[in-house]
Amino acid sequence: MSDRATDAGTDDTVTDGDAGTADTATGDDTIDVDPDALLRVEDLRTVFYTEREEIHAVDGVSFDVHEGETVGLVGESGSGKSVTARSILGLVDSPGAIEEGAIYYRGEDLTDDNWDAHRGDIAIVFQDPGGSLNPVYTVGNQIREALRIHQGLRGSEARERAVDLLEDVGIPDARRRVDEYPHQLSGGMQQRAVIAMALACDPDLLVCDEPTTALDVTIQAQILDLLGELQREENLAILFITHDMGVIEDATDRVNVIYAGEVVERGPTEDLFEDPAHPYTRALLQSIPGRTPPDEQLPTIEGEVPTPTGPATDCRFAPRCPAAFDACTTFHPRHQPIGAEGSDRTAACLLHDDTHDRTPADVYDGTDGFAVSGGLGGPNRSAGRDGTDDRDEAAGETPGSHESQTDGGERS
Amino acid sequence: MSDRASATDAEGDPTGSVGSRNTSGTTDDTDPFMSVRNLRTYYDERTVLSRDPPVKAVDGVSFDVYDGETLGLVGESGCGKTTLGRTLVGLESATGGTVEAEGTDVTNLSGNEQREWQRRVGMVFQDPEESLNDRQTVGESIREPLDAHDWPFLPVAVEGLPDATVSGKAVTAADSVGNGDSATNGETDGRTDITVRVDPADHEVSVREKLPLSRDDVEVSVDRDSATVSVTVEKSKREIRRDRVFDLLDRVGLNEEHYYRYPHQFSGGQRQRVGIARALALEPEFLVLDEPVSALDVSVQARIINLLEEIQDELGLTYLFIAHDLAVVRHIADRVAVMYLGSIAELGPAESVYTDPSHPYTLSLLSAIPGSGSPWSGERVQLRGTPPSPRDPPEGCPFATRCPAKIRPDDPDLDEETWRALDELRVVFRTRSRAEFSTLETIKGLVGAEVDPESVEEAVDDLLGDRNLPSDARETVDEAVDLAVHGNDDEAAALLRDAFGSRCDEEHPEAYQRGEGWQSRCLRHEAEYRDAPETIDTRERGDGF
Repeated sequence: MSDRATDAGTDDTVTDGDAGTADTATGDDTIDVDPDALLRVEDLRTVFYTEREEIHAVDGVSFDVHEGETVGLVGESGSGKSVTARSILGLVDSPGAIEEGAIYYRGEDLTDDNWDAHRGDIAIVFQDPGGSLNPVYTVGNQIREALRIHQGLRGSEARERAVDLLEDVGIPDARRRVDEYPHQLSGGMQQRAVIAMALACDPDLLVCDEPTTALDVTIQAQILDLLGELQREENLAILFITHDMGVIEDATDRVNVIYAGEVVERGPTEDLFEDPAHPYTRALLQSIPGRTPPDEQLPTIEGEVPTPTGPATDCRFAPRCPAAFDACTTFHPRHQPIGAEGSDRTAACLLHDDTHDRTPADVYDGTDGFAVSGGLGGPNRSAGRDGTDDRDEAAGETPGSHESQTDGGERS
Repeated sequence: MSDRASATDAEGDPTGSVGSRNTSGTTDDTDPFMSVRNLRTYYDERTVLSRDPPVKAVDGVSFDVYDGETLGLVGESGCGKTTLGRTLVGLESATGGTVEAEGTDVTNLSGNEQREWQRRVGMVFQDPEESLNDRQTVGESIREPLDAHDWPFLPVAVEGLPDATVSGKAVTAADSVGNGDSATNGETDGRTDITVRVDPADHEVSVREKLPLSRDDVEVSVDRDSATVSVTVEKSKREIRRDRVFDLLDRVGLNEEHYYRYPHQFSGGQRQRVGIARALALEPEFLVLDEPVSALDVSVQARIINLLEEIQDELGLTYLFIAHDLAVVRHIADRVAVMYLGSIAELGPAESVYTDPSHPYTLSLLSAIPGSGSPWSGERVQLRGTPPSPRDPPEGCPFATRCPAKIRPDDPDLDEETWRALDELRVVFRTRSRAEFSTLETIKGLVGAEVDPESVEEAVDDLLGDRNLPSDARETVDEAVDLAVHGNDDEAAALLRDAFGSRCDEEHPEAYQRGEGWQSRCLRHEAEYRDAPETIDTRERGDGF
């Protein structure tokens, strides 16, 4: 963090101040975020207060997004990825609140009540397009409203722009469609209309929260293509939130894997898919059916994503982690650099932290017990990695480790 | 075999099944568990006030399902896959065609026969949240089908005492003797719950293993003179059902204490386990699994898939696995059927279909799988638009409006991009012809005034503005635009179809055999054409543009 901070010039104070906060508050967030980034989320903590407990839905999340790039946030349901999105947009309502951390947009901390000043700069596209559109107004009305609020356009000028936007997002016969109601459009067309509405704000950052999850795979491909195109044309930055590893692989440049409110691994998408460093990432990748030969049982992850109800004092994945050792239950892992120096990859796992001794019996032999065979997504992925073959072979010798997981899985 | 052939005549081609067999190799040369022939399920909502044509959700589908196999059914939403599954288990009534199981058409059953069929088949629904009653405990939910069918039937078979009469409360005679719910066509002796073997000196009683009933719960006395066997079951039906639910909970990885909990106390994966237990309650032979893992996280999904596979192996079940996630289907299915707009485009062994797709739609679907899950290595095929409305399917090949390998006429000589623009223009006209016009627009059209000319011209300009059309083609387009501007969108679409259409717009392709048990409905399988993958490869790489 320090070397970046000195480069940053005007952002010095802000960065230092925040780093200090993070360190004193929890002492465990060491992710470097680039002070020059368009969006910088630093040690974000969003807590929901219910009658029974505090839920630390987002618990010390840090990442950054640069202009013109797509950054992924991937995790299972309950991991905190959508709350992160809502926090960035300032959409967290009671009983939830952003308790700590900062969200810098172009160096300005949004959590200092600066959301209104940047309302149009960040737009969001939600999973369910039907829910984002008002059924009693035409698509055109809704886009024109956004144009009026964010760009001050009115009348025929706004109408022309709305038609243009619908054309930009690939809606055929846009001039007629602009007068149609949401129910007259198919799901894919509705999502295009929602994207058109988001673009009406002329944003620099588009937050996409599971934008293709409700859509068919063919329509999903169309929407992903459209987002890529818009990004190239408008130099849009996109924060892409999904549970779908395949979509992440296709759509993002860099990715953050989130688990129980914390980022557990981050790095360039391709590297992370090729050689996941965190056991959770690895397990997530292996659970995808396409990566296991059809005649074999799918590798599974025991248990469920826990609900973080208090500050983290250990590794939240440890109870489900086949590679866990004693220290995992007593230390909260910090992010450690992975791979070559300056590779921009980190993982919050004690396996990559040499300061913790592992008892001989627990020494991680690289097999981690998930793999039945083929290791990390099959032979084609292992090219050019050191030690992969060892791992894959060893993994092949530990079948059956998932048996008990299947049975005991979700019992509560 | 003979009835299969005759059933096939109805459609005129040997569809899908002849020669195909269970790829898991458990059955050879056996009759299929179920033969579907030219099945149609329409939703007809016509009333006095509305003249909408029926929704042709399933429109002429034929295939076989073999004992013990998993047949995958994939396709986009709205293609009719769920309706097909529901029709097979009797939740929708078929508009036409047959579904034969052991020689009986099950689309037209009533009374006891219908109940028996409903017992033999089951369905697991996509959304475990919607399919369970929130106000029932999980145990009650699973027990419901048992109560509804008054399970157990406890058929008693008597051996060694000819023409024996079985008497006793709660039991029925096995079907060689008796009647009622237990009529089973004699296809499986597993349906005999209690067997009494009578020899001159004594009698021996056995109870089917999978029942939550032990030998000690049954008391049998034999009267040899009147050839009567009286059976008393000392465990109440209520207890037997409760124990059955406990067994089912255990089978799906839950336990007894879950019996008394409510669905909202369960996670999505657990709820789907409950849905599976419920479907298994009456010991069905065939399960329709309708997107059973689509609502689940990937790690939970993997566990449910493993569970389904275990149960299938253990109980010898036959599955129809419906999903839009092609990777999941590839993992679980022996054979796969690809459905588009109410009909089956391609059907074959899963590995063949996935690694070497024949139909352009299959290929497009596979290429759309994101990430490294896609088996298609070429350029991604970007399908335009959405499937046409099943109320108004195209006259020729259902896929012709979006097909990346559509056959083009020789004249005029246009590049592929222009062909597609013309196709899209036709889709625009077709869409407009179905759209609800405002009263004013309708009147304008009737009196011959221009309707919304700007939007027509803009659509044309958008699609064809920078394309070079030969002059006669341009004239045709202008003529169509003129029709559309005067409110005759239908005629405009028809004009374009006549001028620029091909065989694909005229014929619904028959099923071409691609290999053993592998067929595909695409005209490109005819020898005179280049096949679909090659065509698409060329066109998407740009040579064709």
